[in-house]
Amino acid sequence: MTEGDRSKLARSEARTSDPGPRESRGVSGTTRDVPGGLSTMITIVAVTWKRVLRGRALWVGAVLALMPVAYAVGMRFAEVERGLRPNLFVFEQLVLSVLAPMFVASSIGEEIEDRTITYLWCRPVPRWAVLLGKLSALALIPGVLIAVSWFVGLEIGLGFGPQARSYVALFAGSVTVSIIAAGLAVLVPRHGMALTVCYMLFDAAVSNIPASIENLTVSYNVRAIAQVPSIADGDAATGAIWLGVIAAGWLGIGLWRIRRIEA
Amino acid sequence: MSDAAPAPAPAPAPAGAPAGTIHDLGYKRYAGARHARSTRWRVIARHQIASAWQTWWRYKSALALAVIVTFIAGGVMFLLQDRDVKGVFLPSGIAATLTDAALPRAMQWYSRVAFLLSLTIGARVVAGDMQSGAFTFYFARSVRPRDYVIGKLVGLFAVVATIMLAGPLLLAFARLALSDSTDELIRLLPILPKTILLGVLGTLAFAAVPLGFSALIRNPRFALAMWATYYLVVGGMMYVLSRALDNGIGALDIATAIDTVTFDLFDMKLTWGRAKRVDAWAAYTSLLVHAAAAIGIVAYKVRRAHLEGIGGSS
Amino acid sequence: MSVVVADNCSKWYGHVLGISDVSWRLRGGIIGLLGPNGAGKSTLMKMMAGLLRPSRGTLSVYGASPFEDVAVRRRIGYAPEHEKTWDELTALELVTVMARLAGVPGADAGRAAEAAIEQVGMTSAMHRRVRGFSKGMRQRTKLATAIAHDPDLLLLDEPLTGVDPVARMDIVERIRALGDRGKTIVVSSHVLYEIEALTSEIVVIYRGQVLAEGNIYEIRKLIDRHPHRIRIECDRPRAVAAALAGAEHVSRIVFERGGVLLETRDPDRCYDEIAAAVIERGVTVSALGSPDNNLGAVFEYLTGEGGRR
Repeated sequence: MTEGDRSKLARSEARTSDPGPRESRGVSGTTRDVPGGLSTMITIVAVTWKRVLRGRALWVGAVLALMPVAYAVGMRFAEVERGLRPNLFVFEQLVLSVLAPMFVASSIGEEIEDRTITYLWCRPVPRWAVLLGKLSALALIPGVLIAVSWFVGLEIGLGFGPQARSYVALFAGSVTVSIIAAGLAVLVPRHGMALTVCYMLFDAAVSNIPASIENLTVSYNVRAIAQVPSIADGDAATGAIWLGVIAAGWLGIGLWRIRRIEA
Repeated sequence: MSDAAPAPAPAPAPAGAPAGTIHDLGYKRYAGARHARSTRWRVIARHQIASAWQTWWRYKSALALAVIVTFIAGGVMFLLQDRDVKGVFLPSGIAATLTDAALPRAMQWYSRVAFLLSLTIGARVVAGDMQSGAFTFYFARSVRPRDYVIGKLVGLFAVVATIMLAGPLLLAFARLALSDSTDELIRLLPILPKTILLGVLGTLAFAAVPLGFSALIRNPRFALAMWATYYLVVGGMMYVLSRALDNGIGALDIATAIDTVTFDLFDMKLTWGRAKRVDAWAAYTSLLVHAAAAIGIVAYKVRRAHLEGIGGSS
Repeated sequence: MSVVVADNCSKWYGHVLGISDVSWRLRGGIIGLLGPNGAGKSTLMKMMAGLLRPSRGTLSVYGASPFEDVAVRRRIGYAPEHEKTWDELTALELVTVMARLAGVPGADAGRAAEAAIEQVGMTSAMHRRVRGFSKGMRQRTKLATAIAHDPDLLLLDEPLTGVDPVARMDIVERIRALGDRGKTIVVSSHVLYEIEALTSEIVVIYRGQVLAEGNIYEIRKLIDRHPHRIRIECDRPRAVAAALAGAEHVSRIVFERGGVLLETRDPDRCYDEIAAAVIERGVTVSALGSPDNNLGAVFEYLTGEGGRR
């Protein structure tokens, strides 16, 4: 087959009738709306929850979240209360560092890696709505699990429950770590979960440095909001603001990157 | 595909006449030597190492961190030779210098790097194979479950050893090189086998235990989450409980056990930190039991998967 | 208006070239996108679906870039090549969600999903989870997700891969029915007889470039440098051969078991002469056909692959 033949063949015309421009109603009469961002988010939230409830992630998450309770049981068994609350809170933060990526990073990362994300990308949905929808569905789940664990641990260990502000701190931490996990999962889909855990370990280490850099860490700001005695340094309001800054930064990274992903 | 029929042999040519041969270039079965089945694990191990090397986020980043740790520890060893370390004492009661303590202290950092490496590689290995159906490829060939287990273990061991063994060995050589005299050099020679033993124990812990979790749970992300929680949270709880209860339960924390073994091997006593709390023999036993239990779990799970027909029979 | 317009469109992945300088217009109907593995079919499909954007040049669907323009994707339905879906959902739930995400209002989405599932013949299994589906059922479900929102352009990437012959025939019929309803359908495959069963309009992609486009038979006619083969199975092949051996348009005669194979540059004339010869010489013909009137032969000529006898 020579080049001349090929170019001749490439110029040959396919027949067929030009269907003409499509009207705004479909062939079967259905209306042609482009779903808005909010309705897309709601749909994504609903289907994500459905998938989580039918999967095993919740069970595994519950088992992991209850591990710190074993510490409270041990301390209660030894009849030692000193240091229980701050240590338990630190353990809850560590579990949060694992749970949030397990839910969020793997959900987003696996969708991209498995290419099931193509079903979403080929639809008339804004990509930011997909990311925010998944975050909305998943970001609070680790917080809920940890909050239950925190409550049960303190009840067992000390005989009374935690203060309300510590719940707020854990939920805020859950949302922030979830956003970080989402950002990392979008950047590195295959290793998003592992990298988020690594990031949070680094975050925990830096949070103990007595310098202003600690404000850039989730761990320090969560402790500041919770005001757990002997481990809280900073001001709760400042902690909340810095958490917001960290979350906004990573959300920006995630939204910027997700617009460019090609499936 | 059947073999092509061989070409008919040409009639013998008369003496002195030009001769010719037609060669059949069709498909022929491989008839050469084959390696013994007992060497299959080497293929699996090589593949494990090759796949670890593939992207930056798996092995290369951990290796880079280990190199940084080695340089910093080596630099401290060289530049701050005579500075005393607070809370670390030699058997004679004299405070250890940074030159002596740099290597043992660096082991904590090597452990952290090895843990990071186990997140991206170790905890996904067997679970990833199970989930992707790779067992079908392995066991449809003359690969036995033990070949698979040994191959994966050796491959992972080789990868982790470059962090937990190679780095400390370099520091050990650096320590020897900083000896003031031949007598001191000879006196310090035992740190080489000690470093090797420490490196092997640490490598075993960070290669076998995540592999065990990876075999225990078929889903790679759950396996990763379980391993991370076990190492960070359960281990931390054990250490804190041993402090509160004043017993050796802290040996169950892998990080504490490695610390304890490190300072025991290098004949140093601590007045603070994790290693202070735990008996050395409990730490050795903990590491060996962790590794043995993990290898047992991997062997059991892989054999069971094989018998359940995930792969073909060997 | 053309449905798809590609203008000097190229796409590369790092150092690997997906498609190279493709300029092509799709006007409508059912089009077979044909090419070997790695030719660039999926790349082109993904660009039309809005999953990839061109590295160079432009590709527009209904006048808009599908990667940038969210609204135009409302008119596109895409069934990807890979099998993975949200396995935890039932078929109905999956198709309903996809319909909602494609803009079908909440109340209508369920009805549209049921209608789509019925169209692909999956009604009996629609309340089962996708996890337990066979390959053929997954392919049908994928097709249902692509048609539930009644798109104008359907992009089906290897829709028959791994499907058993009975299911294949059924899916082919359903795709044809969709084409009869006025939809523009692009079906990609590297299996030639699958495309032949669906359409005679093809686009051949080879090494990232459009090698040919149009009607199979018209393309075949254009390959005038390569003789057309005609096989005649008869009781006296030598008599037929003798009658045609002197014809200028006949370039080769090969005797085969039970017949004779002619190569000719003028098939129309050759058929006339064959008819005259068999009547004149009283030859009994049991079969008459051309191995070249099929996509496989066209593809071989175009790509130079496969080697000819």
